[in-house]
Amino acid sequence: MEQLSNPTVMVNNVQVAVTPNSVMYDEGLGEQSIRAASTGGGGVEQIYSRNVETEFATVKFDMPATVDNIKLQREWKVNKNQNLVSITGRTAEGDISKTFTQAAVLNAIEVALGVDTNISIEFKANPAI
Amino acid sequence: MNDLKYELLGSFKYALKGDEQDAGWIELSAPTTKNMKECAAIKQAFFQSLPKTDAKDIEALKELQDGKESKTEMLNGDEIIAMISASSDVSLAVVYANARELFCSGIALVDGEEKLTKPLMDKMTFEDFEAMTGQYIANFIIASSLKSMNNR
Repeated sequence: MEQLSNPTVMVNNVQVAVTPNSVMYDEGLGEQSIRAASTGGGGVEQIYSRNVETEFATVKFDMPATVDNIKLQREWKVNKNQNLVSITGRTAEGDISKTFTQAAVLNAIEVALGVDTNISIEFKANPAI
Repeated sequence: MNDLKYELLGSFKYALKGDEQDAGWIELSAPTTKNMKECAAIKQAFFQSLPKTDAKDIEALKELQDGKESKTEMLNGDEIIAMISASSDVSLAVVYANARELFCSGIALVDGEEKLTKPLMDKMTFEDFEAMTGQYIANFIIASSLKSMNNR
């Protein structure tokens, strides 16, 4: 079995050169809870509920502070929630493709300019397709 | 020059304003001096692929045009690609490589909205790429040469 460690990241139809081993995502399936309800006579029933407030996806990656990347991160921020992020990856066992629509960069982006510094990007988006 | 609208035979998905859309057509605009390297290579490939006679290149093009039923019937994109493909003096792969660079330089917009990028071109069918290349050559790169022949 081979680990998927070299994904391709595309934002708004442009492939992004990311720092290796920095890509991660959350499907956006949110948090759920289980409670117990008594049915009487010692009986217990499970009550399952979704917290839809938490149902949004997260995509994070780092990228080197190149001129192109510095321009891109500003463009993504200015685009508000009109970005689309896709992550694809392939191993000998198969491939994975995840698309995140209506993605927005909510936090302030720090552009560190140095020898081996990176720009850390975090998108919040609709649950992964 | 007016922009050219190329209708896609095979659709592909692309990102537009935060959502995925199906591409229907490509808007092609005239090249600028930014694209002169690619245009020069393609134009030269076209003229080198013309049937060789004792006449110079422009005259060879005229002879080709005279073979058409009507003086107003100009070479179309499919004929241009067929001619380049049949020529042993020209590398079709080089023409396609230059066309790919040209289309990704900003002169092509998907559905008139989003810039056609290399990842999007990778999703395009080869049939569409070939047809689009031929039409672009006919309408923009050698258009002036074809028109001057038509007016003689």
